[in-house]
Amino acid sequence: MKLKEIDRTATFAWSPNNLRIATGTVAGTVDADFSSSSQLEIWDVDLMDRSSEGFRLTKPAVSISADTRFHDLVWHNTGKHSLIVGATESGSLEVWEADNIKDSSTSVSVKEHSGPIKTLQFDPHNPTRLVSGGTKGEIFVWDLSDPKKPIAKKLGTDNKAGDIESLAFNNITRNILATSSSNGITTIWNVDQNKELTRVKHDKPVSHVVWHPSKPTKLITAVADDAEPVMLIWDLKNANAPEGVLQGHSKGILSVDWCQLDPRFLLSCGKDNRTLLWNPDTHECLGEYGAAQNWTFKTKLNERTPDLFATASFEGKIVIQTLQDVNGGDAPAQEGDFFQNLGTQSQAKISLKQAPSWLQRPVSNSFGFGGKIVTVTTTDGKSTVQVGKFVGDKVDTESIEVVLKGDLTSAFDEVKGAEWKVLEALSKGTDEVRSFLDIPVMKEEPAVEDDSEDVFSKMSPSGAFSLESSDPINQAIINGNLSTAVDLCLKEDRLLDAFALAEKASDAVKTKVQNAYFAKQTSSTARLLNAVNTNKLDDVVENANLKDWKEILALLYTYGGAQFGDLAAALGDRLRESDRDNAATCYLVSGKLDKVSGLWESEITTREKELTKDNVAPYTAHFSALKEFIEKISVFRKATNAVDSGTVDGLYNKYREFANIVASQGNLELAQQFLALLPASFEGVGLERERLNKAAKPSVATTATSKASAYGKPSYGSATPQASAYTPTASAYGSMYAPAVPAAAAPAAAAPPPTAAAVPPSPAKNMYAPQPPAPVTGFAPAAQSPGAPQQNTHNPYNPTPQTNAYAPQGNAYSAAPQQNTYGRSTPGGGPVRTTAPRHDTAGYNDLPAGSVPPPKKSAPSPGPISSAYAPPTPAAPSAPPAGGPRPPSVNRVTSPGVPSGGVNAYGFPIGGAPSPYGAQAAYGARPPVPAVVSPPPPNPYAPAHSPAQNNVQPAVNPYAPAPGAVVSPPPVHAGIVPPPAQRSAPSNPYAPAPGAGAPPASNPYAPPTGGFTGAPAPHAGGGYTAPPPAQVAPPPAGPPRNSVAPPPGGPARNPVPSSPAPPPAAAKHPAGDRTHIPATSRPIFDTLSTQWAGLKPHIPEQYSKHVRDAEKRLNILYDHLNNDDAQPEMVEDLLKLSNAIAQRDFPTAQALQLQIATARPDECGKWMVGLKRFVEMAAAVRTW
Amino acid sequence: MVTIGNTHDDLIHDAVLDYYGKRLATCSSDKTIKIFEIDGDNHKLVETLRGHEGPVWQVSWAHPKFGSIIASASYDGKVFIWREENGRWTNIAQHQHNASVNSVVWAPQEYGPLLLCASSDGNVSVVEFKEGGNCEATTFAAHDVGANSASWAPPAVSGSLIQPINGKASNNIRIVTGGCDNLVKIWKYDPSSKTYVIEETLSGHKDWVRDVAWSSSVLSKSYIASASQDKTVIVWTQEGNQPWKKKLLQDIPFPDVVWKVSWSLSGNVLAVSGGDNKVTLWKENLTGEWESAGVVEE
Repeated sequence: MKLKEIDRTATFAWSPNNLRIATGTVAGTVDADFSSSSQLEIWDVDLMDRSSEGFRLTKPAVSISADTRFHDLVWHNTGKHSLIVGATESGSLEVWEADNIKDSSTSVSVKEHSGPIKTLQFDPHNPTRLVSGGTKGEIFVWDLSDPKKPIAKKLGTDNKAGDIESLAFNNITRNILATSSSNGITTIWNVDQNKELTRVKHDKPVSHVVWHPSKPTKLITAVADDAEPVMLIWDLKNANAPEGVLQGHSKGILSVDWCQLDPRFLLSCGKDNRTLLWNPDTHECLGEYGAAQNWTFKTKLNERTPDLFATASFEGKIVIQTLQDVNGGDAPAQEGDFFQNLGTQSQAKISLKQAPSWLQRPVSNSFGFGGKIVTVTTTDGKSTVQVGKFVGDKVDTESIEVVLKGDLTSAFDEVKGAEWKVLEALSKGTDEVRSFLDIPVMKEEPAVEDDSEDVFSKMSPSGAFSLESSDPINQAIINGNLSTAVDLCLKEDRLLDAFALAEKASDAVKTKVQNAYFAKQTSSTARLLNAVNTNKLDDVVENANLKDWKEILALLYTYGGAQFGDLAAALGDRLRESDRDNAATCYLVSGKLDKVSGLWESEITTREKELTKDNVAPYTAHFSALKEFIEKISVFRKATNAVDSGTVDGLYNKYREFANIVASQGNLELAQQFLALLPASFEGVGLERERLNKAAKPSVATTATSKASAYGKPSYGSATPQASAYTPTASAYGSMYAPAVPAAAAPAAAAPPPTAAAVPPSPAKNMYAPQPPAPVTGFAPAAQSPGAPQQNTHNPYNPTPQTNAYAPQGNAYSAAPQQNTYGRSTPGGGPVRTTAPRHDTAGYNDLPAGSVPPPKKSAPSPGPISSAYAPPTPAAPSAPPAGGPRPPSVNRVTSPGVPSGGVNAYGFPIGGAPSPYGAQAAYGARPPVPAVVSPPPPNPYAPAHSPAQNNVQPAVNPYAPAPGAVVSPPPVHAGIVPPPAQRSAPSNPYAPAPGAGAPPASNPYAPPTGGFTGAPAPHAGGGYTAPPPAQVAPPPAGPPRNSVAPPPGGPARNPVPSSPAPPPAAAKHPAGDRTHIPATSRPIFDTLSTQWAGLKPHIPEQYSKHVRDAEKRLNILYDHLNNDDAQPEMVEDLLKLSNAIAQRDFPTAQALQLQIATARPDECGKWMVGLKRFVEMAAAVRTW
Repeated sequence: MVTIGNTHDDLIHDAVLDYYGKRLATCSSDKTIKIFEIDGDNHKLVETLRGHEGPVWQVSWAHPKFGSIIASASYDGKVFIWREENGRWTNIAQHQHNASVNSVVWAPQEYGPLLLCASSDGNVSVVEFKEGGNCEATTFAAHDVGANSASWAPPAVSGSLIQPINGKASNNIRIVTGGCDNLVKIWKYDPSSKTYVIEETLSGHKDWVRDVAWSSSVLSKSYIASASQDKTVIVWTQEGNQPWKKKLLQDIPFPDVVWKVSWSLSGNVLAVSGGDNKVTLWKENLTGEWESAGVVEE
């Protein structure tokens, strides 16, 4: 996008310091008026002003007349000075100090060249050194330490080099200079030694030379000749010929600039008036900028911001524009922007093919709810995202939690001030408060009113008397006109009589009398009496002298009744101004939450400041003040059972803030308790509660029961597992394992649903963790097995805890083994899936870092395999709390003293048939040796679902680094499982057939094989001894062998020679093209590619090599599909296979894959290995 | 610890959890955005959003009260708004700059559905989503040669929560931006002119400002962190209306360019990501120095 234009026919230089540009009238041209004047000017490029008025720069900040015109201009910081240096037509070097340049400034002018100077460049390694090149091959090296006295030294000797058109210092190696001349020769010099090192020759004049920004031997020369308008890419390692050509200009090239920040960008411009952008790595022209109407003779990126560059043309303009243009030049030109449109013969077309490297942020981080932090890191061009936790300041909220549980005693342990004493008294009851306040507790004393009644009763006269009806009062009484009588009494000031009369009269009359009485009395007693009598205690509260606040409070205690709270609060209101502490007491005894919280809340900020002054970090002070507030409020509520009253939004906001902070620390339960105090209608609280609940919800992987038993405290779900210390108490185990067994077994055997229930979903998510997919049969055996050793071992069905526990976080591969470890007690009956996903070669052998602890740590019992099943041993140590990713217990068991000698690193049996244990040994040899755990199920290909299945085979499960322990069959199974001796026998199914020697070649995973190896057993992998199918069926009870299973003989036989795979017929379509896949096979591609994309992210990083390899192979398959050269049967099978994957029917997928591989080996190419791996990985991951 | 690899086909530039911490959005040079469900230590890819024509630099989740929505900023100059309904994600709106959009972030929910974008075209824009699906952008020139990042000030000032008016607290909205002019700038919304006006220009970095982040903590001081190509992080603080003070997070430069700074939800811990792939956590101590705040647990 064009940003600015300067109307000058000038060469230019960007300021290294800010957005300014210096221009110098270019040599070799004539103005319309034939003037030969020359100016050096400096322009401020104000990009904040992008108005159309500001598009054209008209007023230079500085303008100086120069004596001569310029071929080149550079602007450079020498450290002490910012210099503008001009190469002039007259041959003089002109030097200005840019910082103090004014319109009247003059240059330091030095003449050494005998002819015009054509080009200049500063040395990137020596800021005061400049080189200049001119006609007749003259090159001078200048020392500008003192810009007022440049010192020149000639480089080389005059030669017939022609004019030096361009020169460039090497960006990496010091002293290396390239100079290019009009005769086509580019000379490489060692400047200090004044020595010519080599030459790059071309027969056409060179206009420009640039070095690669980071590769010291690479350079590009631009050819000025219209007949061959190219740029040549040279590598001096072989200077005989260019290693590449950038072709695209239609006429000679005049200027080139190579982006220092991103070497994938190079600009060029020339006599065809065009400016092009290139990727010199790929030789691709990335785009073209709007062409000028005349030669463009200089183009230069802004060094500070290479997103900007300027191009000067003989059209009389210098155009400043952006390197990339997202609008592709299609953005509507600003209306009325004459200058922008002028001279734009063609619209810029800059593709988005490549984003500049300086925009490509390789790392990132962000925080998430519940103390999570997400990080992105990039190594070797591969990015990894991690969601971790951080613990900043640990917030101690224990005191508050205790209070919430109703235990206030510890809150009062330490004296924190008067308020706390009141609170403490409050918590013990009213009497306690009164005694604390020195207000006598008068339980038995009669109330004052009672007294007064007595007084009246005693006043009753006795004896004979006359009615004296002549007295109007008497008359009125006699007539029943009490009101009148009372009035008359009052008139005569006979107050006592009036009171007596009022006894019988209406309430109104009574009030009248009382009012008359109090109107005449001024004593405090009367006032009190009045208040008490009329129930107008507020008079006292509002008007009594505050010094008597305690007495007022006592009065309220005595007479306040239901109004006590309001009145005490009102008293507190009066006191608040003058006597904050006593006001607080009143508020506290009033039980009014709004008053109490209002008071305290208003003090939080002050408290925070106090703390800050006490040298507490601001945030700590903030939180401490908040916490104190929350604690006090909580104590208050517990002590008084106060309920929300009045407006307590302020309090709610504090609750919310507190909840959010503690939630960020992972204390979700506490956060929940506080959010629960907010009314549901409170703004935003609904979502916050939902968030907490979601976060607190136990991860699917953990079931409540197991957690409860395993952990001391209720789990907060996934967010806090780490916090809860796992105590391997007997009970914990008991609950975890013991109970689980029966429960698990029963449901499993019963029906799928229960099974599902028992199986935590989370394991499913573990990659490669063979998840117990509730195959009923699989479980059945386990359940049935008498005296099943399961108890000893982990119960596979036991919901998650174990699973989690052993599942190294993130490591899919390791998950499997663990389960096996505990669950493997499957009697032969269990369907064994040997299939642990296998991997090719060594790669899979490597245990995922971190997931599997080095054997030594965990390896308690390297003993006999059989010990593995010894329940107590393995179980206890290994059972980490759910959620607490504890290193898998897997390695715990080291390889059972099996001689590893016979096996090579990859587990290939060396000479002779290794016994299954031997294979194991091989694994044992490498720390992460996965002992194969999965027992041969009926279907060897079926993924090992249930941990329950026993795996006898050691090496088998490649993904599952099996603990040695696992390997050993439980005693129980002994019957079922061939005794070790047996297994070791060559005939052992797991052991490669003797003699077979499990040649690596046969390894299905071995890349060279290409074709599918017939070995059904996943373990067959070269790395692992390929278990012959026979092995699969070792358990007596073993289900019928899968028909697919290759005949025993295993590895030896297995390999389907890949060679037969017919070479693909000449591809009809280029590789990578997917547009010609026929409709019949389209679904294969669609399904496989979609499923693959979904699966990929679940595959641990350490297998990315395999992922890439598989992907490459799958692409070969797609290419076949695209070329429609697959047999119809093959297409059909592949369709079924892809559907099976889509439906997560891995046994079927694996069976199909095997079937294809065995039935039609010659149709299988290299892709089969990719497909196979896909299926295996899918089976291991299971869900995505 | 959840680790996700083999996800995108090219560099990943950003990864952000939603409000609940249950879904993760990642974006990449492969032009896609991916949504994962995170459950404990497990994750599951649930969606891949396609549509951008260039690398996607940043993503931001809107507050859930506005729906299940994310915004994405791309090198293609566009900001896309995606909404999920019944498990289906659709692109419901877009906003355009004239160059790469380098950052995008939703406002604190108190301000309403406002989106803040910073672009290489030098402009910063605030897009307001109105009832009925319309959106209105306020765009202003912020950094001459390109804006790299922008961040919202928290809605509450000095302890007093601004009461939302009609669901929006439109007064006192402030933002901070950082750009290729090496400057950090603070802007304030001016209701009369309905645009953002410069309030402060903070200079201190010697090279591009890569990222800025305004802490959400409402203390006696406001905190802004800025990360730069010059390998430094500056924490800028302001007390009341006093001038902003600058403090280097650490006196010695980081080993590499500092690309990203972010504050914890409670605003007291600063995470810093450098080109050396290191993530460091910082907090202010009682003497006003910044010190380690622990490490990311793995």
